[in-house]
Amino acid sequence: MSTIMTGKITTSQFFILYFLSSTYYLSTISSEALRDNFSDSLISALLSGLLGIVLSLPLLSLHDKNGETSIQYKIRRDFGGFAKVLFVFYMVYFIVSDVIILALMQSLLTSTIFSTVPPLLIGFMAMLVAYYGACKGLETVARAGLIAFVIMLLGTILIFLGVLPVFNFNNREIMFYKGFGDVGINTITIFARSTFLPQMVLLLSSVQGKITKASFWWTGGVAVLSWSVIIFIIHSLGGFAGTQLFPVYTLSAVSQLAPLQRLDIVFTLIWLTTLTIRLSCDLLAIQACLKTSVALKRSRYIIGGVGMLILVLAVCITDNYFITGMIYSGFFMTIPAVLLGFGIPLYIKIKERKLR
Amino acid sequence: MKRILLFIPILALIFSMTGCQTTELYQQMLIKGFGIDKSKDGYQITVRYASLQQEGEEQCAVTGETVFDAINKLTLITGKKQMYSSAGYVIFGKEVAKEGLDKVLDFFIRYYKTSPTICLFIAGDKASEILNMEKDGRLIPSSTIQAFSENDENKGKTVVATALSFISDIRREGSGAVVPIIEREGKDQIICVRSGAFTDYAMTLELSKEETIGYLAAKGQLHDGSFVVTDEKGEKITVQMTKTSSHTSYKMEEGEPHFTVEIKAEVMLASIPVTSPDINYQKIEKLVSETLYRYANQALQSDRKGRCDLQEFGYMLYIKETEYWKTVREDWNERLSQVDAKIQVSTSVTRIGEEDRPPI
Repeated sequence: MSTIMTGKITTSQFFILYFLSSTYYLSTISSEALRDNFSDSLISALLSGLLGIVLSLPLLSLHDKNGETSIQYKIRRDFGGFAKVLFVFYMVYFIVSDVIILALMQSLLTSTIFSTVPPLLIGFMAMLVAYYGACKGLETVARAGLIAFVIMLLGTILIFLGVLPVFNFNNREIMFYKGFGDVGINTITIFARSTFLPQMVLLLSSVQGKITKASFWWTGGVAVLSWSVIIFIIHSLGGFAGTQLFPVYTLSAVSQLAPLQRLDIVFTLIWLTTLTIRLSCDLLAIQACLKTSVALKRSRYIIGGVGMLILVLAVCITDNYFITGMIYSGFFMTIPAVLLGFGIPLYIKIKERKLR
Repeated sequence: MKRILLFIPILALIFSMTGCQTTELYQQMLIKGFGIDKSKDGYQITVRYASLQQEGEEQCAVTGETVFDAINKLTLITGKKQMYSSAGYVIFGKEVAKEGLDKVLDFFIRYYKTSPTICLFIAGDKASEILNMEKDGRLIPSSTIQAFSENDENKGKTVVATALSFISDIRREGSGAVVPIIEREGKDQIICVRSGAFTDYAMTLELSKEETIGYLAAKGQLHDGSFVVTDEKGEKITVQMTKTSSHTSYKMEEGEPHFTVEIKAEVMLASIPVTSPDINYQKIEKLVSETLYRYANQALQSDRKGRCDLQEFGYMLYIKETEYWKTVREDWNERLSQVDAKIQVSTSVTRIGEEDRPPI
């Protein structure tokens, strides 16, 4: 049996995965998570992008463009025995993150399209695809990511075109009407739901080439897409968006152009492809943790088990509206994401500087 | 082994997530529209659905404590499974509208099988009365009812409302919403020229035909409809609205806003009396402007009297005078009756047709 991660991917391939994994959240963002304040969320989307750029600086500076010294190696080198505990933290973060993704995806599908289909079946299919991708390796996921990226962009443009007839400038809302509190909270919400920094710590070792500039550009791209989707939500749905659990789905459902009508299911499935890519990346990151910390060779069976665990947990919470209400914002994931994606790389960077 | 294993998810997909169902077409109730009236214990829902046998439409009425409760009983009565994706309109009885649509509209927003772009109407009296109307022994088709919301030629006289636009308007700061009123005319005719104005989900005002035209003109939404004006000699001149645009501005004087609504209309000359030497283009423009002014002013007075801000003066203050708006938003609808607002109308004849009268 061949090793699971067989080689390197290019910078552009990696950042396509980064883009998809960071924008997946748009399909499942709820108006409740954004506190029914979409106009302030326009600023939040941009601020979240800026926050992502700032917090990625230590991580990007640790990347070896020749791929000789991985960040995982540096973690082991600098944290010694504690590194194993750290990798466990990383794995727990990825598992919780995936449980949220899968639960929201199941919630979206059972609330809008397949109300009678058991969440387990939907989640099983998504996890199976993600697991298959993870087994094939990062290059395979990256190649699939390119296709998903093109389809996702086309789908998004079609959604935008479809809602142009109901685009109404009179739906504009005043920014900061309720003060600045919502901007801060929504920035954190969007950052928590979209960040890919902890995954980058584990996956960057598979990337060959310079990444700093590309990282800025693609993070900007994520912010621009988020901003555009929110603009269309505001002007096409107006106050109606505030009544919707999944306003992006509603956006596709109100398409007024005849050839695009009733294609909401297709659009939803396109967005869900991006969720599957994110799940694959997370499984690969878990695998990288296992390989680095306990040098497992046949880790695909373990990540299969982890996938099953994620699935079971996601199914358990999908029908529990109390817990799903909590995970819509993903707020509680912010601190772990910042610690694992920014704190650890910053510590290593400071230590490297001191040694020099 | 791998290929055999791959068949498991493929089979699961085939049997679980495809559109193929065991329900045959004749077992399905393709719903075309709903009528909702108040009943003793809750609501009476009249449902129009496609009839395969009669190549037309059938309908049935059920009652329930809530809209969904009533609709759910349909299966027990007809033995068919409801298909909501073909539903194009909902007619609310006048009583329901006055009580507030928030009690009945939620189903059409929440339920995943309904579309947010479903058209809304208010019945002149009862919704069931409209849906029960027959012409030549057959129910008046749903397409006729829905045409009032879709047909461009009607827009000169009719407002258009969907669940999406209604909720969006109601939830907007300093704004009201309008829904067309559909009513019986004569034995077998339906007309839709008036409209109902809503504040906080409840219909507080009914706009007449003229007020509806005035409202549409003031919003710059009067297009395509024919428009008849009469000169001092009683001669009737017909024009077709090609375009209207409007612009609302305001001035803050002594801490109070003073609004001006400017309406610009472009019309096409449709017909004038053959023997009318006095008529010229300036006169036609003046007559149209005067009529539009009268209608728009009537609409404005009614809005203010009914405490319903259809002109969205409040929204303008919310956008441009946010701090002032915060101080008046709570009692804005009460203040509306004292707000100073002027209307200015200008008209230009932009198309004259093939005839050379009056001389250019």
